[in-house]
Amino acid sequence: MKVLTVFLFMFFSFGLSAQAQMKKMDSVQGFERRLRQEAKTIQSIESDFTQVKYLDVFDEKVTSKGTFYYKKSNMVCMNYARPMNYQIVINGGKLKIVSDGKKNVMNLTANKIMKEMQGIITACMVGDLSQMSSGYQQEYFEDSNFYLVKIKPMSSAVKAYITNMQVYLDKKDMSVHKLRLFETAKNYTEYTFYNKKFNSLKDDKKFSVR
Amino acid sequence: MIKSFRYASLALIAFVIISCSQKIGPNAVSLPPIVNVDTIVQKYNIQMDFIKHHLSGILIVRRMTDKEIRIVCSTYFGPNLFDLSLQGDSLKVNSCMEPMRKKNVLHLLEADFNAIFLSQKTFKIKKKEDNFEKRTKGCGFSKSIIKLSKFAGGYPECICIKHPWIWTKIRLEKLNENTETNDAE
Repeated sequence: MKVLTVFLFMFFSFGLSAQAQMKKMDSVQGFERRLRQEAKTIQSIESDFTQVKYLDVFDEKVTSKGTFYYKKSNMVCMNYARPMNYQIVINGGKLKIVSDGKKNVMNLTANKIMKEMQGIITACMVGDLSQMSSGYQQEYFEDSNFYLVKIKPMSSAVKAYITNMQVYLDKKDMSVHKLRLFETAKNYTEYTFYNKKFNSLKDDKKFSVR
Repeated sequence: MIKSFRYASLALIAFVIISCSQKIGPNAVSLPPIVNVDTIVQKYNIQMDFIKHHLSGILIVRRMTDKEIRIVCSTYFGPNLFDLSLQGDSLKVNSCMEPMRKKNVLHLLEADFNAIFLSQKTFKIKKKEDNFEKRTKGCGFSKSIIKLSKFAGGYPECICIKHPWIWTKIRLEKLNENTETNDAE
């Protein structure tokens, strides 16, 4: 279950072709400056998402849909509506999972790797990459619509769960358009975020971990 | 989590020792597999209870060759919990996340997946109705109860395997095309 504290993924061929058109970013400093500025204005994010998990062994994808909520700071809620109801809430150092009417609450602070994973995934989902520690190698690309940041963990403990991450940020508002988390070179989970609303959440009710 | 899996492990040791020592009579009748696994992927919602711990995800099953059934369990969130192969009636672990990577947990999964995906001589049908079937085997720590329901095309869409003495339960519910989507935005 701690695994759940970990990651995300599909459209492999699309991904390859999209990346092929991307060029190295002209000004990484300018990108990072804008990212920091935009992050300051974001108090909350509410959006729909589609999650596609690609399994190389079956050449099969599993698609899920739901609603994503983020509130500053460090509060994330993912409500899955399809193919079944499921909820993940990260609030501070706690993780709550509600599945089949059963609730599980875990404390992540005791496990350094899980805490790290929670931090990195949250950062990638909300585009707050400035919080990324030096334990991650980053490469920057862009095309006319998106920035792409490829992130590789240096730690073998983290690499056991995620070999690399790709974060696509929309140039219009610097929000995360797509996040792809690779478990192995050919198995990944991709999240696409759409119908985004910013600063619309008024309270923390959705992020309760009780 | 790890602590609770240690307790589960102890209970499972008893299950494994006793169930491994069960004898099958020479005249035992073989029951057909509960799920007919072919080369088309089948997906199930899986709920696993190990003592007080609850795990859930999507189980994806496909026959790879005549001798291999591949069983992958993915969390709803994305990452795999385990990737196993049934080769004959033995289990090969391709990958498995902690804390499930315990010999006795894997033995239990092996026994349960054998019971679901392969012909069985050790189980007996205790009750059979149009849309429900109950199979049992063993007693005490090795007791296993399988309940099958929601039959479609002769196969159950809901499968529940319970080991009452070791407080473990695995529940599978078939995911049909109308409950999932294959289109990304």
